[in-house]
Amino acid sequence: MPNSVTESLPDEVLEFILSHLPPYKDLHDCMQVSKRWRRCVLNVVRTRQRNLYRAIIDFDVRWERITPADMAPTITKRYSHTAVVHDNSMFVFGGCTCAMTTFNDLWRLDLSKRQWIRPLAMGTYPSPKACSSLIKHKDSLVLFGGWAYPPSYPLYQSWHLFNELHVYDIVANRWTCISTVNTPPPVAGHSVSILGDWMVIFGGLQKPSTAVHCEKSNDIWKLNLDTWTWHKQEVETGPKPNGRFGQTQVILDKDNLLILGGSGGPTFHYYDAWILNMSGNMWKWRKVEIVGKDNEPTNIWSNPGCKIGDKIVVLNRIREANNSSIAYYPKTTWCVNNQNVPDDGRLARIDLAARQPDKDDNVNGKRGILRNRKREADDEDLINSSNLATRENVKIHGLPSSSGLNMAAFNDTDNRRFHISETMREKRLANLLRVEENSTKGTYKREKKTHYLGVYLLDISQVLNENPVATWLPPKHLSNGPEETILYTLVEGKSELIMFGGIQKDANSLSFSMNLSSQISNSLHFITAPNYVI
Amino acid sequence: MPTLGTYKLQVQEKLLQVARLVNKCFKTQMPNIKLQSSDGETFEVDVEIAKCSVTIKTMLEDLGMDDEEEEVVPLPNVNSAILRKVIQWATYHKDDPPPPEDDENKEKRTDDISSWDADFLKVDQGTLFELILAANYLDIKGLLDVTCKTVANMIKGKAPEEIRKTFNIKNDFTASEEEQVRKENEWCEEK
Repeated sequence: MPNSVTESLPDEVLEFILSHLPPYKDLHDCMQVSKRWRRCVLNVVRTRQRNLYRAIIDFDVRWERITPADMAPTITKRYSHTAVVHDNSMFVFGGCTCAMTTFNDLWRLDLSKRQWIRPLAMGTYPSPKACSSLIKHKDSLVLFGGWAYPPSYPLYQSWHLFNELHVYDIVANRWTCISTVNTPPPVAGHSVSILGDWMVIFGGLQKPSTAVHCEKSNDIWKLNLDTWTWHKQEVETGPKPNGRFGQTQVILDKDNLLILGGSGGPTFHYYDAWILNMSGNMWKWRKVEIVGKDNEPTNIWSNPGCKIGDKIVVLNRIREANNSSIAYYPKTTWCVNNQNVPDDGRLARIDLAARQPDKDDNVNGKRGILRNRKREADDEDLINSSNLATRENVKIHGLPSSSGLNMAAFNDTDNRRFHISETMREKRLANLLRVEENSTKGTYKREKKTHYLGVYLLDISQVLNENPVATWLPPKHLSNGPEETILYTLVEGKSELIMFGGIQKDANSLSFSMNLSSQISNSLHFITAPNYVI
Repeated sequence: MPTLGTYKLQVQEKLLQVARLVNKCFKTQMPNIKLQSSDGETFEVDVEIAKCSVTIKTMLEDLGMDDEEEEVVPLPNVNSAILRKVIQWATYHKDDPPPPEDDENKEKRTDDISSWDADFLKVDQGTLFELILAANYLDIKGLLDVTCKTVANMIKGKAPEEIRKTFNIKNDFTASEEEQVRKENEWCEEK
């Protein structure tokens, strides 16, 4: 036997063994064993990174879910929290419950052991808040802004925005409150990046000291992390992004940031992208042309994006076949009177949407997505199941009471319908009744169809060209993720993406929600590449 | 018109044919193959079991080794003790469902070693590593997986020095190199 038994193994076998280790502390420890082991670890790391990138561009990722029951102690369910990966841990701060109670706890997820740890920190704690920003700087985490919904008494209080700045020292396990002069106004839902010794924040929901109401901001502030001084950054005049919150912000290189999407209010969401050039004293915005709108996710304000190589990954509801064409159908067609209605179920569904024209505020600006999509989905089911996609469906459905509904169906004198058997008709009516019933029972029962998250990809490799272009890539596979969730965090770990928390809700029907408690999540989802092949 | 006698004969003949067929079926289904270890010991193994080794399978197919003839397959890289273990493992797992074409969506974990495998792999380190080498040489994915997972579990949670001690590895870093590697971030390289 040779001096060491491992020496007898070929490199590829040693790499295969190492590929079974969690890519965090264990792999780093192996690197220090010997020169050969270090070389093999580096190969494993390269392969893992390449595999993740390839898996993502092929839309062929593996979802791994860790439910809270598997781990104790565990973090409370929450959404609108903030998360950041540092070394072998993911830190999570704040967020809120279904009752809008905000947290000021800090949790650490040991990524190699997949274990939650709650470090009981010393020092001055931040206020309980959600929608704040947490970002790592050296061995510290910098926490800024956020909002809190105050307790119900006294009643006159409105919700509260923060501009407090805290630093958590990871090694000393201590929070420090930093007082700064010339602080930006209180802000929440802003985006943040660290470039060298500067922290750059953009946008968010702001409350200037002079204002009564909150404003969507498009201001840029930068914080010097050595001197803890804030500066408001001026930009060159010219086109710039509208004020917004909840956008995705990624670093392209040391001089350029990209922002994507965000929200301009309850009924207006953005799908645009902008480059912020930070060289020189005056910074400059450039609008990015977005190509591949057909493959665009429906929501990039409550579903954060994460940059992997030259792509931005956004999780969104998996688009179903035939679904998209409906949502974008020009509104004028809704009113066309049914002369030449194609018998394919498509227009029927559009008419179904049109039966609530007074809910036009559903249409969220640019895309014209209907907010009440759960109901639409039900309707679609109905149409599919009855296979009777004629305008009568609509007529019947539009009637208010169920008794009238029966009547309407049978009083129908349209000749085209006589070939339909009674049983079919009855089946269809039963379906209609059920849908009608469900839709009056509130959100819970209405959720007949569950939607799942899938990967959407924005190619940003051409955004620094003369004419910046970003392309939504056509999905190749539809790998099912968890149930549709929003306001979670998505961060990059080592050769994996980590999704945590959020609220299992259709973003478009958020305002309908009554009872959310069971839909808030503290699950962890890891997006990784399929297995290592020797 | 055939007589009763010719009928009898015909039936007898048919029966014989069937018997021969059945016999042949059994024979082609369960022929044996001889594997010879590096130290010259020969093992008679069911071909189907031997074929869980992709190496042997390819050898049989490519070289057109006929199942009927009792060929001896030489395995110069595997000694008899290890070959015996490999055959024991393959025999136990012969009825396992074949690994899915691409088990890509299978979770990669190291804590899913079956209890039989765990017992089977309660061997000294030398044997374990020789099993890995044999599994690699014979191209038996299942065995390679489970043996490598076992080694990965031995590494998990250990400090570099402990790993070196466990596997008797010489530290070829100088003190300053070691310090440098400790600070190195293997994930920061350009993609």
